[in-house]
Amino acid sequence: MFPLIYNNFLFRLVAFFSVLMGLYILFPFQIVSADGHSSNDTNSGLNYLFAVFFVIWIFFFGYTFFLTRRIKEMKKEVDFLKEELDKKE
Amino acid sequence: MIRSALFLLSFVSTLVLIYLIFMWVPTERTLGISQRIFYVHVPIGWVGMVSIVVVGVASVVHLITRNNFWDAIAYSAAELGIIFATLILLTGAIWAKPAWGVWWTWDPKLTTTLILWFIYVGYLMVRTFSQGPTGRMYASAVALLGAIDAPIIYLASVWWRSAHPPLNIGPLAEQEMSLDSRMLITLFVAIVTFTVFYIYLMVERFNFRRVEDKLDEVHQYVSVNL
Repeated sequence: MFPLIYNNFLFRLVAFFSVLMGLYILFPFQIVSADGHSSNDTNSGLNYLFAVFFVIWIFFFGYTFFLTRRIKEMKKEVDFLKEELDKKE
Repeated sequence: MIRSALFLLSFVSTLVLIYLIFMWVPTERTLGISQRIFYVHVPIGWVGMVSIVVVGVASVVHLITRNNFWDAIAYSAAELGIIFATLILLTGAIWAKPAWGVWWTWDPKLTTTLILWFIYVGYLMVRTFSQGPTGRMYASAVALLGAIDAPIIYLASVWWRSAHPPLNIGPLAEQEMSLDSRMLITLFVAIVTFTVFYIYLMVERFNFRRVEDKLDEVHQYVSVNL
């Protein structure tokens, strides 16, 4: 399940960028894009673009977390069933 | 092996997509940088609609064949579909604020997308609260409603007066709305990226669902026979 996402390094990398994007949305600083638009220009919409990426990352991160928890629950269920079978035998 | 390849492919194409969106694609004259939301909003919308069609088709095949393989596909697609449908609404709302000045408006396209979201929720609620073959049958009926809703969402801006931009991809796209070549390339890469990522998530979720089904069978066996 999630052979690479589950890897600790990538998991932390995703968390790090999610926090970074969240901080940027909360406390926007001056960023000038390649074509000269400034983030402080209300028409530029760079904050909205970052907000979209932040939301997407958070959702997929959350979904991965949900699945990881479910896998742990399933492992517990398998252990429980093994114990039950051992008792019966 | 296939799962790892799919993951790596989606990871690499995501990096390429981020580069294209932030560094390469030209800024649209009217909407400014916020227009770049388009390159994630449209592919997410595409995947969300594909997902409900997968749920509908898999549900019908399951009803005909009674094979749980198809039910696992339908359930996995529904679970992913609700994530993508939520993201369509959220990214759309974030884009609507700089473009229209409001987070939400009862535009036909937005409203039909919200209906799709409720259909996904309805499907998963029916599956949760009504277990067994009866629950699967009712859920299939809900999924069919969603499959009908998908083309309505696509054509909403053609059929009704809408604040939402007209179609600029697909067979019904208006010629004068056709995009700049760099915008089209970025959009194409975005659609491929999200489609590959969706396939990867589907494969993972489907395999996981099959294990869940097998575990349920073992539970039933243990409770009856031991």
